[in-house]
Formats: sequence, structure tokens, C-alpha cells
Amino acid sequence: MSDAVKAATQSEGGSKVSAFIRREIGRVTALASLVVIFVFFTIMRPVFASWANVSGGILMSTTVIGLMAIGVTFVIITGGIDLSVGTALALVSVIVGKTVMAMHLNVWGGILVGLIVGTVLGSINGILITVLKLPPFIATLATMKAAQGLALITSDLKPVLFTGGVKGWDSIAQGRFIPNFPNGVLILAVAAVIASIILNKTVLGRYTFAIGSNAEATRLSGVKVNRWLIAVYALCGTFVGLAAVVMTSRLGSAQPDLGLGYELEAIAAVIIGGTSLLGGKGTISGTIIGALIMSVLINGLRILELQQEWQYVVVGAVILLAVYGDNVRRRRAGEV
Amino acid sequence: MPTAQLLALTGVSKEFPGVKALNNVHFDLNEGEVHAIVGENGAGKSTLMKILSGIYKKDAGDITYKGKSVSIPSPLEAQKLGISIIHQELNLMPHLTVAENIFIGREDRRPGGIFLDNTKLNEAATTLLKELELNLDPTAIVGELTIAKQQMVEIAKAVSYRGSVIIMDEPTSSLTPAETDALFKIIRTLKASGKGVIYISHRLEELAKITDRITVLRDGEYVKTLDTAGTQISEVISLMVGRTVEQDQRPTNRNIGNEIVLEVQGLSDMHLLKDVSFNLRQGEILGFAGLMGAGRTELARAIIGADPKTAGKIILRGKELKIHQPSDAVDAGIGYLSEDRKRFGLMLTQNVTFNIILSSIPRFANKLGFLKMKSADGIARDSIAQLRVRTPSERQYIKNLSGGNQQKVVIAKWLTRNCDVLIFDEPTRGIDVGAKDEIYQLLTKLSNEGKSIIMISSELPEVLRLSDRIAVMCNGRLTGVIDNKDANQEVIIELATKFSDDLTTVN
Amino acid sequence: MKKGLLTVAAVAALALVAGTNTPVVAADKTLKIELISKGETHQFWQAVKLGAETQAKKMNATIHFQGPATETMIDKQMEMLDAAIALKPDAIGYAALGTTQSVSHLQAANKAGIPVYMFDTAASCPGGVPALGPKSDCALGVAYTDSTGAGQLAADKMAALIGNAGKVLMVGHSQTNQTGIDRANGFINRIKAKYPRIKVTAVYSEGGDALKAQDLVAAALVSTPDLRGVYGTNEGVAIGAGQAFKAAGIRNGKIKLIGFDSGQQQIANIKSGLQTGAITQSPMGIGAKTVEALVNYVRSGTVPKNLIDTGFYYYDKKNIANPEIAGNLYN
Repeated sequence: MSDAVKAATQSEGGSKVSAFIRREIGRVTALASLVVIFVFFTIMRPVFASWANVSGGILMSTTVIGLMAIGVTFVIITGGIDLSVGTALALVSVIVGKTVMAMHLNVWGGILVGLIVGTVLGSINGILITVLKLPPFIATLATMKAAQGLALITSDLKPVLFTGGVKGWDSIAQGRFIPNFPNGVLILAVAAVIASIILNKTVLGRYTFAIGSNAEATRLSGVKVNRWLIAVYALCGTFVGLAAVVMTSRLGSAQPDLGLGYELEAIAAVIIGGTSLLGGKGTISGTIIGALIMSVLINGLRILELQQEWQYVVVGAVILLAVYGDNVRRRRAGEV
Repeated sequence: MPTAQLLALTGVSKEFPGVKALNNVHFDLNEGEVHAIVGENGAGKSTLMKILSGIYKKDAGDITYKGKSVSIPSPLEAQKLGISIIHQELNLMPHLTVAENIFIGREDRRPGGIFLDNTKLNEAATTLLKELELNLDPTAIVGELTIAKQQMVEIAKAVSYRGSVIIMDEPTSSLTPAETDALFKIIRTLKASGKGVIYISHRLEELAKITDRITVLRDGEYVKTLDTAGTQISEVISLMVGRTVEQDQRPTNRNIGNEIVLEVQGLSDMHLLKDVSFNLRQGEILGFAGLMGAGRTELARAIIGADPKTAGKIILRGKELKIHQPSDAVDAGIGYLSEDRKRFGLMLTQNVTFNIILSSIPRFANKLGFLKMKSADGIARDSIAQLRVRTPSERQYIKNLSGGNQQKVVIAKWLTRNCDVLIFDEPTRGIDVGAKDEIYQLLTKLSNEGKSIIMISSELPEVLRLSDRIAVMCNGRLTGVIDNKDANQEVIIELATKFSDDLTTVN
Repeated sequence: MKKGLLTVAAVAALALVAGTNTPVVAADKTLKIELISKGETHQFWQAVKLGAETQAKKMNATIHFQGPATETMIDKQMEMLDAAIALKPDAIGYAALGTTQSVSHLQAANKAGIPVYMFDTAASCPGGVPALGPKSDCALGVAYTDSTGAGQLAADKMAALIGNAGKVLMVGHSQTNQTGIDRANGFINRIKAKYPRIKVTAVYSEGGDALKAQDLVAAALVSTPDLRGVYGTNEGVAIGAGQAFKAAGIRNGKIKLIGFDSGQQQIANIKSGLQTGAITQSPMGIGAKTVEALVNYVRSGTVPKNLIDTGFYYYDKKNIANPEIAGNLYN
């Protein structure tokens, strides 16, 4: 990824490679950790590295959290947070299910509904934060609870079944547009590339970094910060909408009571990927690496049949290590 | 007065990746002495202070404290030795009282060790404040005090450790002249009690008033230590910058148009501004002088829509502007350069190009919203060349640039946006003496090219040197506008203190 | 013998408390029973209502069945309970939503001489379930599904399906909720006790998260190529397991899958052969047993057990349409 924003420091001496490593040390270490963990599990149980497990187990289990984490990356780079993405996932999936079944929409119609509803929910967060000037933590905590309730109410506490009603809904995530490569993973990959382009090559991306670096200076520079913040939260919602579509396709149904807690997994992926909770700094590729680290760990520990409770401990330790490592690195670089 | 040596640094060096921050630096401090360290930004003053206060570890050299060789591995160790530092940005807890702040971490407890003993705490604070002749209420909430009084709390806190060395980093940067005098009185009290004070300041005129010796650093190297008595400021400056800098100049060869570009009528805000009216002509530099808190920054922010106004009109070239938010002012071509560049002007963690194009991003985007980075980098390179920004490239991070070069980047941002009314708020704050001169020339050049400039400054020589006319504010009102030829420091100070009987002053 | 004594004592006690309103009522009088449920529209509660209605008709009684719109509306349910008491029915059946709040309301019903029997979920009556009965000032007892027994049934069915040997995976839906624990441990302990050649591994998808269950089962299919069966303790887990089978191409009972409860997707999966079968509770049984207990008590003073197991069934493709099964399934 050509990364205009965080490009060459051109510090004295040093070859291009070492300059790159120094600049991208966060992502380089994250990627290295991912490789080390992967190799470890492969040595412990070679079946771990089988394509069936990699595609169907690891990559597929990254799709939903990964798509949400992409959206959350934008929000966190602005210095904000979105706690509502987990329950919004449930609400969008229920609304998509109900709409598709009631209006007899096809696959494309359903996807469109998901993206639109997700975007609307995201912009509500943006409006609460900018117009009502609520702190993002509070605003999205409120919408998190509201979305949870609405998901239960709209669904009447029952899963909404797609199969039979919509031809090909299963194929959105589980089909194989490219042989042996599940569509869900393809969607995640394409979404990551698009998100990366938006973040690094467009006006919206530029303002995302600007607001996170210094919101007041951005405002005084004549940028309509509120408007762009709403756009960022809306974009986050769009990715949550896409995640909801992929999830319903994976499950063949919309589950109203699922999603609470997913926001923390998405945020963890973003942070493991080197995006700073303080804002102004972050990458999509880092987020994808972060999400992969978590799903490789969870899948690998299952394959090793380690007692399940230890998974939680291990994932917690990885988050601590990732953030601590980032702190040490930044202190050495004199950023703190 | 005893003259025993308190502290001596010999051959101290410190290297950061790619940068020699300090190279073989010497420094010593005696009891009852105020010893200034001066130098341009990047000369190594803060690195030296951070080594003394245990934040950084030196790579080489010796530190002797009261005759014994010591190492200072942590701020706690520095404190134990008796070295206290008062940072430029005060480190107080605004919601706690004066006494609580002074003794934070060392609170008196009631028997049993669980409950705090506030009576004892306040008594101790009262004794300490009396000793320092500070007129402060130990039970006052720190956040409600003026900056000057907060600084006194910091000093009291530093003294409360009963150390022998107190480091003051730019202590007068946000004080009024009266407050500065009060501070000097306290420093003299400290001196008299045998403490050593290391004094860091950009305000060279203060050195003669308060210091005994001056050590000059340049580019991490030790240059010279001078006795203050018998040293001219110009000598210090030339040691700092390695050349001579002229003082006390006035504008010459000015070419001011007749057209009134900006007219402000009856501007008021909720808290301070009352009925401010003035106008700004094409190619003019209009200086704004006044004491701290006179309302000059508030005026600038009200004009550009950063804060709400309660009354008043802003007329640009005969047309009234409806300004509700900063983007309205920017769209009209009015740019504001804040006194606090790091908070309100720059993205420190982003690069030069990013900062220069921030106000003009739509110009560097195609219809789909994609940025044309090549053209953005090109413009940034042009600005760097035009304004002589010293940076290895347009992709350098702003935080690695010196204050003067950072200021040039902010100027470049507004020039890129084609703003022709520029409001500079303290344009040389935190900028080295050498770079100041360059900023002055740049402001003059910009105005000669037809930009209309409002320049807010608390440094009177600066105001007199650059402004075609000088507007003076006091307590939220405009108390006078004078032509440069009629102006001198006395006249300005008189206007700046008009109606100011109710101003709160220190002590 | 002991039971008989208790009954006599209970009748006497109740007669004392209730004064003129003796529990014995002539058989030709149509009894009025108020049933306050946790919900009304959900199919589970509709099945409870149907079971209660059917039983009431048989026993010359009428029921009035109501519940709040969602399971969070505790206050609303309390209002319903108070209104029911004010109507002075012959008996009240109650499914506790506010397990602590409702106790004082139930005590009020008892004071008014109206016998109460609880169903599905018990209120936190003083002394818990063992103290329920005619002496209790709270309720006579509670009718609900024996989750441990249901888990044991699943274990027996699984063992039979895989020939009493091989590896099975138990995917629980909660390690904190009592129903979840009982359904899981009933299964695990039965396998350990009765089927030594079956090796069971337990994992949990907290909250019955279908997506996490899918990932867990997908990983298990890789790590355990010789897996013979999967048991999921609720609807969400069963759905997730089914989807994992689907994605891995496991069909037609190659690996057995026993789920719990019903719902549209699970029923569809059983019909299509993706899932082998499931355990269902008997919501109709809950309704019927509650009405039966109350009517018998009011008419003849027969003290019901303080804990009635309302039953559960295993169903699969073959018996899914049988009336005693179909009535208990919901979509």
C-alpha cells in the first residue's frame, strides 16, 4: 500500500529498507507476530495449516469482526470510539432479514438494504456526537443499548430465516466466485482495499487523520469538522452493514440476540493492528493483521484443543503485549 | 552570601537516533545564584534539563551535586537529591486546592493512616507560603487562580521538597509585566535563602534583571558562560545565533493601499469583548497590543467565528459577512494563525504537505474525492522554497521542525488557501531570536505583496517594529489606535492600562 | 403415608387462612383460572397457552392467559398480576419475570385465598422450591422442564446414533445460566457414566452465539477428523453447528447433530437431513400440568408436588409431524 500520509521520514543515513522498518515498526511487528503464531500452530498440528482450515476456519471467522474493525478503524483514527457496532450488527441483520422476506428482494436488494441501514445507524451516532456534542463513548454506549433493544423488538426475539426465501443468500459469504476461496473472505479483502484507498487517497481519509491529529486546528483551518465526523461514523456504519450481510449469509438467518461484545473484539483488532486510541494514526492493513491474529489464536487454540477458558486469557495477553509494545516503541522514538 | 558550588556538569553528552542533542556540555551552579541557560530552540536546553531532572539518561559526562558524583536515573531520584523542576506547562491538578497540590503524594494523615488530615495540610501550606511571602489562600481551588498564581503554587511545591536546586523553564512566558516583577521578587527570596535557580528564558531582556550568570548553548554545544553584570544583550544574542541581530527597528518603505479590506463594527462577545470597531487597509500591518487577558485573542476568534459573538458586523470589502463557523471566514479569505500553534494550528504527527494543504484540500481533489498527491507535494515544495522552510523534505513530520519553521508551515497553509487577510496571534512566540527576524521579514514581505495583516503581539518591540498602526486593547475594549510614528512603549502601555483599575494583578 | 398426612394438614391450614373459601369446590362449577405468563405472542407461550386451554376444557375450567409484550416489562407483569388477584379467580398460574419483585404480590394472592402455582420460572419464594407447598405463603409449586433429564436424553440418543463409541463435541450455550449448565452437564455426566467408549469434549458459545458456535464447530471438524457427533444446548448453538456442517460439506448424517428447542431454521435443517434431531421441551405440557395441578387442588384438595417435571421429547425427521411433538415446536 502506498501510504502517502505516513510516508518517508528520510532520516539521516539508513537504507530505504531500514527506514521503512523503522517507520512501519508497528505493522511489521504485528505481521511478524502473526507469522510466528501461525508457524507455531502449524508445527504443533500440521492440519492447522491445511487450506480447509485456513479458508473455512481462520479466514471465514475473520470476516464479520474484520469488516466491523475496518469501519471502527476510521472512527478510532478520528480519536473517537464506536461501541454500538456490535448490537448495530444484530439490528441491521434483523432489518435486512425482515425487509428481504417481506418485500421478496433478491440478493443485491438485500445487500443494498444492509449497507443503507448500517449507514443510517452510523450517521445517527455521528449526529449525536457532533450536533448534541456528546462524547463518542457516551453517545455510542446509548445507541448500543438502543440498537440491542430494537433488534429484539423488531425480530420478536426470533431468528429471521433466509434460506428458501432468497435464492443465493448463502452464496454471499459461502459461495466460491474464485475456486476454493470463500466469497466472504473475498468481500473482506475487497472491502479492506477500498477502505485503504478511502483512508489514504481521498478527502474523507485526509480529514479523518486531520480530525484525529488535532480537531480544533482542523476546524480553525476552515474544515467543516462536524460534517466530516458524521461522514466517518456513517462510513463505519456502512462497513457494519456489510458485516451484517456477510453474517446473515454465514448463518442463513439473522440472530437478534447476537453481537453484544463484538464491538470490543473489533476495537481489539484495531488496536493490535497499531492504530492509536488517541487518534491521528492508523492503517487498514494493521487492522486486518490484528483481526487475523485474534482469529488465528482462537482457531489454533481450538485445534490444539486447549481448554477454552485459556483462549480468553491468551487473547487478553496478546492485546496487552501489542499495546505495551507500541508504547515502548513510541517512547524510544521520542513520540511520547 | 555563601558561594559554595551546588551542582556541576562536565562533558555531558546525549545522542538520539541521528541527532547529537548535547555534546560535551559544561555547566555549574552555586548556592544563592540564578544561572540562566539560553539558546535557540534545538540548542539543547530542554535535553539538559531533562537529564538534570531524571527524565533522560546522559550518554557521557559527570554530574556532581554538593561535591559528590551522582547519577539521576529517575525524576523521583532527582527530587530526593533536591532538584525540582517547574515546567513551562504547569503540572497542577485544577480541581484540588493549593495546599493539596503542593503536598500531593505526601499528604498528612490522621492516626491510622487512612484519613487525610486537612487541618495539618493547610497549616503546613500556610507556613510555606508565608516563608516565600506568597499571597495565596491554601484552600483556594487551583483551577480558579490566574496563571501567575498557579505558577506560584508550582514554585511553592518545588520549594516544599526542601531541595537546593530549582529549575524554571520559561517561567514568564504567560505572565504580565507586573506578574513577572512579582515572580522576580520570589526568585530573590529563594536566592537569599541559599537556593540555586536555573533559569531558562527566551526573553533576554529579563536576564539582566534577575540572573547572575548566563550560559549559552548552540546546536547542542557549550558556547560560553558570561557574568551578567557587564554583558550586553546583543552579545548574548550574537553568541546564540552566531551573528548580530538588530534591535529596535521601525517599518520603512511601506506601501499601503487606501482600500479598506476588513471592517469590524461594534463586536461584542458573551464574556469580554465590548463594542470593538476598527478597520484594516490593503497591504497594512495592524498591530494589536495589550496586556494578557485584554481580549485580543478573543477578538481574533470572534472575527473568524471560532467563538460566538453577541453583537457586531464584519465587513469584507464593503460586503457584510455572515460568519458562523471558521469555515465561513476561511471561505471569505480570512486566515487565523493561533498563538498556540501546537494546539490550534498544526498537526504535529503529520507531515509538511499534510499541514500545508489542510485548508485547501478540495482544491487538491478530483470530482470523486481522490487526492492529487503529486500536485499537493508540488505546492508544498514551492511553499518550502518560497518561505525558506528548513526541512529535509515535504514529507518530514512537523514535530521534527523548529518553532520558526513550524510557523512558516502555518503561514504556507494560509497562503496556499489564497487568504488575503491574515490574523497572526503572537507570531514569534516560542521562536528563537534568529528565526524571529526571518518571520518579521516574511510578514513585511507579505504585506508589501498586498496581504492585509492583523498582528497580535505582547512584545512591544515587535509591535513597534512591524505595525503601520497599533490598536491597543484593555479589558475587552479598544482603547486607542495610533500611527506608528506617534507610538512608543510608554504611549502603548498607557493605553493598555486604561480603565484597568479593576484588573486583577498579582499580590 | 407421610404425604397423606401433609395433605390433611395442608387442607386444614389453608381452610384456616382462607376462611370461607374452602379449596374443595363442586365438580359442576366451571373454575376460572388466571394465567400470567412471561410473554404472549412468542410461539413458545402460545404453545403453553394451547396446552393450558386443552387441559382446562377437559377439566371444566376456563383460563385467561396474558403476558407482557417483552420479557423486560417486569412492572407491566406486576400490574397484570395485581389485576388478576383483584378479579378473585379460583386459582392463578404464574411464570416469574420479576423473580424477587413478584414475591409480595404472590403473598397478597395467598392472603386473598387464591392458590398459586408457578410455571416455567419460579419466583424467589422464601425457602426456595423445597419450601413451596400449601404451607408456603407464596405458591404451591412450580412446573418446569427438567433440564438435566433433557441433557441425559440427548446423551442416550447420541449414543444410540453413533453406536455407543467415538468422539462427540458438546457445545454449550452458557456456563453461568442454570438451564444451560444443566443441559450441558446432564449430557456430559450421562456419557461419562454410561458410555465409556464415547469421548466427549465440551466447549461453550457464551450466550448461544450462533456465529461463535459455527467457528467452534468448524475448528473441531479440523482438529477431530473422526468426530462422530455434536450436541448443541440451544437453538443458536444448533444453528451455528448446522451452518458449520453445511460449510464443510457434511451432510446426510455423516456426523450426527442433536440440537435443542426448535425454531424455523432448526426444523428446516432436521427436515433436510443436515441436523439429525433435537430435544424439545414441552410448552404444552407446562400449560397442561399447571392447569391440572390447580384444578385438582381447588376441586378436591389434592396437593400437587412442589416440583412438576413437564417433560421433554426427542424429535427427528420421522416423528416431527406427530401431534405430541408438533404442538410443542415453534417456528
